[in-house]
Amino acid sequence: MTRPTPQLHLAIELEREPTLAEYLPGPNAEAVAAITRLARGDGEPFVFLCGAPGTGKTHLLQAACLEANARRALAHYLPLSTPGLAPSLLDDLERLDLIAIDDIDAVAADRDWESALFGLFNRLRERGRRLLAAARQPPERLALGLADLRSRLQWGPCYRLLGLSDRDCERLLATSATHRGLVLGPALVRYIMHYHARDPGSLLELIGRIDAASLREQRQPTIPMLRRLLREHA
Amino acid sequence: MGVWEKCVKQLKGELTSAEYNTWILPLQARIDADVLRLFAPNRFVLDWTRQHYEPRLLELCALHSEGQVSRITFSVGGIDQTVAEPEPAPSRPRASAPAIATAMGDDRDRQLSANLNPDFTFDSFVEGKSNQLARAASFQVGQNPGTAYNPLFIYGGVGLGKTHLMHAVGNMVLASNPNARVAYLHSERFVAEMIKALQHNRIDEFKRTYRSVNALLIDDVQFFAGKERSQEEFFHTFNALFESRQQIVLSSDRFPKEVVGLEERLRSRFGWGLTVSIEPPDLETSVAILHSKASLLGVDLPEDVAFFVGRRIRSNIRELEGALRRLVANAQFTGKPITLDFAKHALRDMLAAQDKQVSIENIQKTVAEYFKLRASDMLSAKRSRSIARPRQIAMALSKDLTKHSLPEIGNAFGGRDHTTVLHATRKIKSLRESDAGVEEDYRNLLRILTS
Repeated sequence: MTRPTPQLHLAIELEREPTLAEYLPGPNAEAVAAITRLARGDGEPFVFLCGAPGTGKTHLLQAACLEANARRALAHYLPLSTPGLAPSLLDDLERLDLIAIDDIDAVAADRDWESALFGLFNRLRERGRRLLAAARQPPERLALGLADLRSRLQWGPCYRLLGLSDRDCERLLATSATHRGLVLGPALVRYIMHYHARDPGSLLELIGRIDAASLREQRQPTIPMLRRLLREHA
Repeated sequence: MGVWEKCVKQLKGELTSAEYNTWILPLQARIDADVLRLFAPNRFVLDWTRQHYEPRLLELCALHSEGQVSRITFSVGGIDQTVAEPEPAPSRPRASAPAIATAMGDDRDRQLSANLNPDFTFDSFVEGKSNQLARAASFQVGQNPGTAYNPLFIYGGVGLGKTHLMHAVGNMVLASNPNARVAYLHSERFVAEMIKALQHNRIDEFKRTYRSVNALLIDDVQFFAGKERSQEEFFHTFNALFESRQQIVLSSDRFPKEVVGLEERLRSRFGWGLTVSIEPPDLETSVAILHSKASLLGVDLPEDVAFFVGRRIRSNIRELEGALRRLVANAQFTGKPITLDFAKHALRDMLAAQDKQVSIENIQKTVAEYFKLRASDMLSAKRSRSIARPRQIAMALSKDLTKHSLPEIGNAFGGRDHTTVLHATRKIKSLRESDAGVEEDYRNLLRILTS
């Protein structure tokens, strides 16, 4: 007996572009306010973000770029952990209005990258451009070889993004599900909070998978569906 | 909505958000008849975009223009620059003009075209024991360019004010002689401009430009290290300016003789004039700098707060400024006045570096030490109260301090079931309410693990 082929998940899901409004600030409200101002061309021109994986650094950087772009500013998001990049990626970027550099730790201790970042920092500052930078650690803890780069990264305010409390995580799950038209009752939320990593990044990723499964199977999520999704990803 | 906007909208749905923001967002586009002209900020972005997205872009353009657009060209630059066909085009204007002040325009224009920051003046430079010699020498040079000390070589650690002094010299020269040609640039930019000039066959123009200035201010000359062609060019520029008695000001993070990777003839020339050092600021200077920067930000900084910040951050002025900016931002955000307690709280992250990543292993080790057990007891199957209770506390701490799921925590405790972890967290929660001893142990451990 042949099993019916699962229905393919068409690319019709709502555009999930990261926005600043969608980021649940929790204990990070001040950082979000600083980034929002920077993205709008106001406030501090350089902000450094640090925090553990899953605290939303990437989300905020990309959302800032899109916010700036919506205001007709030219923005560029640069995740330095992407394989295949070279320091010449940073050439002449002072042409743009906002540069958001993610994962600086990925190139720390690489002389050519550090030197390119240092040069870019100076050129952006000379031209009065805006810069958002992010890494897991604050500048003083990064394994940088170039002291000149470290001191420049310390120039602006540095915000450490903190993880959300369990209660905030539950709120995040509920709002994010609602945005996608999913019904995620308290029992399902509790189930996720028990059986899944509780950082915002992992939770949002899970919501994406639940959404896809729900669309594919044309039904609202259930505990057995969640159990299966978690097992598939274990 | 134009053709390009429609393409972008569709691409947004097809690419991951990171891909879209990295490779599509920085592009600018213009449609000329049947051609979509795309402008990328640099060669790397251009090559990457072309390699990964050109076919799809072409398809989408054809689709959304109903077949009208049939070709894409890629160029480096911005849409407002009159860049013609794909580079390199010999008639293309130079991407960045040389950093030379000319006699055109007002004072501010001159400062900007010389790359000078008008805010970096001698008046805004906070003098202290650690920098007074460097300031005095720079002031002399600003007053008598080309005659006082040539070259003036300022060296010292990062973030101590070398760049500020160089800008102050440039600004002073321009203020007393608006027709003077002044150029401030970082050594890396000198190198980059020279390479571009070589690529575009404009090296003669480059030489002429830099050998005809009245004051050349080059920051961080240690970055010339290992770049032989640039050192060669800079050597001749140096000689031309020196012989015609034009002022040269250089900075570095170390004494000229100690700059590794520089040709001997350059090192010796760097020491021909006056060499002065800048030391890290003493506490009083740090406090004065904080007050000065705070007043630029329009903030009144109480004395005790300035001393608190100055005492805690000793490494360099940039870090001091970073801390101040964070403090001011926090005060504006919360609407609270800047007091000593407020400063301690706001800078907690920066000062205490509370970023200790607590791991389950660390929790197990700390709890075992606290209760004088072996770390292996945390993982063992032993169920005696003296071991089981601390193990439950460690599990509860793991739930509170890490983001691991219950199954992951159970696994880390000798492969226990997640229901055991759930039971432990519930048990400890209720014991903390009913047993003062457990509450105290828990709080102590929490403090040890997060401080």
